[in-house]
Amino acid sequence: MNELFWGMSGMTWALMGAAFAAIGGGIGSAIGITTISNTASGIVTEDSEKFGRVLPLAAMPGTQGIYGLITAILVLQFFEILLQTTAPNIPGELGFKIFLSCLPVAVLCLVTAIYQGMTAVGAAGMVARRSEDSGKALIFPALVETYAVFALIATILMLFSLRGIYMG
Amino acid sequence: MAVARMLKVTAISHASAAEELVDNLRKAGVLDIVEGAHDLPTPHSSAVEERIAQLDEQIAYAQFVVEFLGRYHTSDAPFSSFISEKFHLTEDEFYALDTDEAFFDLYGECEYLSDHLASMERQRERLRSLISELQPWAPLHLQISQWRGTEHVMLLTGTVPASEGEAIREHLRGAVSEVTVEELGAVGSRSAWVVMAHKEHVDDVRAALHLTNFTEVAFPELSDYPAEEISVAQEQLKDLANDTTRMLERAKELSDEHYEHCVGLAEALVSARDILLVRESFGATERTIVISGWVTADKRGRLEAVTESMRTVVDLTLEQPGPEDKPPIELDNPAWLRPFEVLTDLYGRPQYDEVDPTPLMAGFFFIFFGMALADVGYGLVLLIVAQLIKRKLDVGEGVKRFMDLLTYGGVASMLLGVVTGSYFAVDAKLVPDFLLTFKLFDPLEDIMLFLVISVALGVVHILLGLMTRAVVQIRQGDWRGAVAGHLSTIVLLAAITAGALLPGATSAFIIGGLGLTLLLKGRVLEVPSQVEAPVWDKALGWAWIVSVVAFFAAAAIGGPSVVSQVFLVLTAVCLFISRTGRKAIVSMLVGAYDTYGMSGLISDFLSYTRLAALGLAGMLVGQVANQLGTIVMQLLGPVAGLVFAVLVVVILHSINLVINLLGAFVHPTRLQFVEFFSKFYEGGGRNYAPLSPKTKSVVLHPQVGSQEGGKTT
Repeated sequence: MNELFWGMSGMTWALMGAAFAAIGGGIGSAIGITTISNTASGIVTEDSEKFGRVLPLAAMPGTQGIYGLITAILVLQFFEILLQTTAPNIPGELGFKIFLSCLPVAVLCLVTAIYQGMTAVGAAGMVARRSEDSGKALIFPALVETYAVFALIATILMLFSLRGIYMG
Repeated sequence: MAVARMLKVTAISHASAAEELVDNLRKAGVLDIVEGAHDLPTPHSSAVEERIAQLDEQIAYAQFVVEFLGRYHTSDAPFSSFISEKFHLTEDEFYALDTDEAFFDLYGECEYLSDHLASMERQRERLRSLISELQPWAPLHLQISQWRGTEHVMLLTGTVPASEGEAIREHLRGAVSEVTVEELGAVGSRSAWVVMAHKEHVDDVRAALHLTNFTEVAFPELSDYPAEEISVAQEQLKDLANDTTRMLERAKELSDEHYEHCVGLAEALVSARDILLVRESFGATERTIVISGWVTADKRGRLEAVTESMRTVVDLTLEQPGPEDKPPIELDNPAWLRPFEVLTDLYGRPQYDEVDPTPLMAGFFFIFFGMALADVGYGLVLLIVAQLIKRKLDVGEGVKRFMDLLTYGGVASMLLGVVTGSYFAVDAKLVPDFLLTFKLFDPLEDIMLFLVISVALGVVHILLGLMTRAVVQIRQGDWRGAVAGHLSTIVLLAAITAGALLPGATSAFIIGGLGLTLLLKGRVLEVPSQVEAPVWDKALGWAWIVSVVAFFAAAAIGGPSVVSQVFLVLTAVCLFISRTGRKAIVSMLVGAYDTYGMSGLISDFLSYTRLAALGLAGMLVGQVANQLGTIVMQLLGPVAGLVFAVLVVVILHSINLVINLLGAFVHPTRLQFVEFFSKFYEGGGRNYAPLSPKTKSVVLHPQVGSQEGGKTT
């Protein structure tokens, strides 16, 4: 059953998908948070009372990293890799499909987190000038995140369907 | 409509009573004073201007003292580094605060301490750098005053880069044969040198050194041995440290004694200045002043009460707002809905004649929040933490209201957690059966169901938005606009839903609904009455409209093909000879375009899938936290394992809760603002801000037993 697909076993493909998702989300979040944190630190240096107001903005690009992690966990859980003592039975073709399913999160989480960080910088400017607008400022970066959420939904649906088809 | 009714207030007072009137208005705290409601000049009083200038100066003093003492102030309130400290005063105490002799003494002392601390810091810096400069010369047993040399020997002190020492020495020897170089030690990367030569060679030595990186060093203000001078400087440093400690202790003492008073004083002075500055909004004639503003209808009594005693000098008029007026907005919702006003305030309050969206969105926000954080454990923690912050910490009113909103969120999470059987994301097999009695589905097993529920809620949410807009339009008498606008959208959505639910009649409902929507959105039926044309022309127009209806009816329920032939012929005829017909065809196309525009609704509906994604995300990370805990327990054995497992689980769940909390607040809020509000809500109303002291750190409490005219909290 453990036939290869393009020279790699199903489990290798599956783990590569899971790893790409976790890495893409993680890189995106790290860059996004760095971008906004630089601005946020500047604002807090000027006015330390704004710390609580800019912190949620700085945390926002972090969710993509979590979506990447969730995708990785889903792959491990759905295809019986997580906490197992024996190698799971994943045909090479299924592994490749799992890999494809992980791509929406891997790519979109990477990209949206970076752009969300940039949007959050603008929003932080709003908070710096008018701290009573900190609630409104949260909404603009949240608009960017929509597409990371959609990517997660696409990935979850694909993985869910694959599990239904192949694992019963 | 939960926008509080407003009354327009015009108060005309004799100029002599102005001060008393403003004072009474301030006490009442209900009048929102507006500028520019009249064409009168602002009142001018040199006494008031003088007082403002005086207050500006005193505020500067008070703020300096607050800033200085604040550096040495430590708060014993819990979480004081996160929550700005509050000081509680009664209104009488607050208004009694003023600058007195004791304050100016305190200011003088603070200024003295501040100046001396700064100057001592400068001296310390100077002495430290002197010591480090002298350090390499410490072994030199030659008084600094003797560094000039003797009658026959010249002496040069300086430093050279340590790496170039040898080269410079060679260069020097090459230039002057009778020269001695004494190397003493290092100053960082440079070596300290004493160069000695016969006075005859002074110019040669200088010229030779000039070409190298030798830098001359001198201490013209010192005279003793370098080691002696170092110990003198160290002694001075010690004295300075003692003095500084003494001054810091005094500053701390002053801070403990006076900080709270000074914060109150600074804010009281700012408030006193604000009360004087508000006069710039007044209008003045030779003997009177005119104050315009707004009061909520239910607080008019309080306004009338404070002006009652001044009836002889003040004329108070209260009237309903006119169509041109833009009253400020106060939301008036029952206490249980008030926490949700936080969201309305975030977006911006409604216009005066607009619907307050708070009651409409409250239920949805509650459910959405619950779905995005569907876990009994997380909900319970959130509820407890929010209530602890509200009750145990000294936080402002806004924070308290937000904590109430989070409490609602906690309850919602618990309810949805019961429905999904999620208790700290613990494996369902380990959860006692009675807790799963009300479990309706497992989101991880039925992802599709979770997504469908999210979208279905979105459809209901958006329909409510559309209907609200239609109702508002109908109330304003624009029922045609309502029909052509959102009501026709609802018709099409209803037809599509009916078609989806009744498989046998799917096409009938969808085609019929589409036809009806095109007619309604294009306002086709109104065309014949609007066009000026001969009767035959209008008749042709009507005939075309009937043929359209017949065409869609035939397509929907399967009529004879002659209907579509008649429709095509009539369309061709109308295009050429009937003005009414042409206009109706164009309207129909406009309707088609508007119907196409509805496709945006599909993306709106899909946007709600985020709720399921967020709910799943929280649950999955929670499960991983539990699994990691299990692994730790297995690895470390029962005792140490349990301790570390609990630690790991608690930390991971806390992080997960905080991150999901952010998502569970931001995303449902976005769904309200972007998907829901865009259907009916504009916002942009100005907040009702009655004349009252705008304090930051001071919390005012009404005087016990003197509620009359006082501000209730």
